Amino acid sequence: MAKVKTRDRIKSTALGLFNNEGERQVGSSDIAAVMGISPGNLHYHFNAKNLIIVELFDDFEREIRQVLAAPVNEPLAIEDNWVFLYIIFEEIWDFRFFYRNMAALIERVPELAPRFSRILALLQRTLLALIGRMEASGHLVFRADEKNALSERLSMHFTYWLQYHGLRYPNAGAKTTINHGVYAALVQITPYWEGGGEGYARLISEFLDAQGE
Amino acid sequence: MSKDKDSKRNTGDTARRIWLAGIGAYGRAFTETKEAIKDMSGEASEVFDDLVQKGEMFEMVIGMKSKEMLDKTGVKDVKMPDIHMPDLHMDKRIKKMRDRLKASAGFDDDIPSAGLEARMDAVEAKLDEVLALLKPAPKAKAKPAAKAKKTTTTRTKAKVKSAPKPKKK
Repeated sequence: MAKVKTRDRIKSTALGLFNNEGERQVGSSDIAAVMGISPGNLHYHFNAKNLIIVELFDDFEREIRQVLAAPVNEPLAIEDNWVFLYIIFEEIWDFRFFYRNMAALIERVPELAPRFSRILALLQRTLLALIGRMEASGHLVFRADEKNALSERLSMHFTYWLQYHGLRYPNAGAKTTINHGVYAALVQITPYWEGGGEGYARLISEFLDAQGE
Repeated sequence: MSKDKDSKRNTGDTARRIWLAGIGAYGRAFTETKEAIKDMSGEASEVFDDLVQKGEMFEMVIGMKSKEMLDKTGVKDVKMPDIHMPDLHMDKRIKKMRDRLKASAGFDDDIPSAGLEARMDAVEAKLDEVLALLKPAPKAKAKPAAKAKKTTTTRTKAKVKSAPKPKKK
């Protein structure tokens, strides 16, 4: 059982270091040094850094799927949308090193590419379902193909937001980054809001202000 | 008596719904809202429900901005205790939503249902087996030591060999 704990500690230490220092800058020996264990001990659990990355991706995949599967299975009330989008971003934030240097990471660990692609497809389906329900309830109005295009744009927004925001506002904290990400996602819906969306735009702006960011 | 109570409850509920509908009228002219409420006969109309829903959302925003904001709206007739304010704290809302997502978790494709711990245990068990096989028997201990000596000698030789190189200068 002690071995399992060490394995978990390796993963959580690696995740923290990858997220804060950048995955490329952190080697197995750094992880071992931070944990205060010998490189041999770490090697016993993971004989290559890529194996840690793949297991962290397992964790990320399980968690993000748990979140994304929910609204597809069960409709959410309209006021829960902010919170729901916040949680999606929170999941991405927790494993943000996957998103920061996605192309370079996939080049080194190619097995992540199809898995990432499936997550993005699920994200788009979830967002499509979300705006589809808002359309069904009469809040949104779309012309042909606009709904698919919007869901794709939103999916892209979720994929690259942290990268963009990190460059633009390097000192911003998690909550600020996420709340602004949610706001920027919801603003994209405004043009499709029934009746011009003035009230909706004001509402989400108020909501952002209320977060104290 | 009970009829009175019911009547009070209904009045309270209606007041709350009208309040919610009132503040849910964002994005629409106020007169339009009044018309919608006027047109109601007995059962709540779809328009009214829609406004109530929006009102609940707005109420939440207002609540987050504290009671001062409520005073600014000028709606002082509504008794605060009658209004059920939603859970306004964002962290609590997030936690609540997370619990809900966990409860309704449904995996739609190829993620194995076996837990991570189970998989880790299996890998650990395999590692233990491999390590047990790799452990040298007590008799065989002498041989690797001799080999190690040889290796060291070879390395020293190599060092000696490479040493004269700078002399060629």
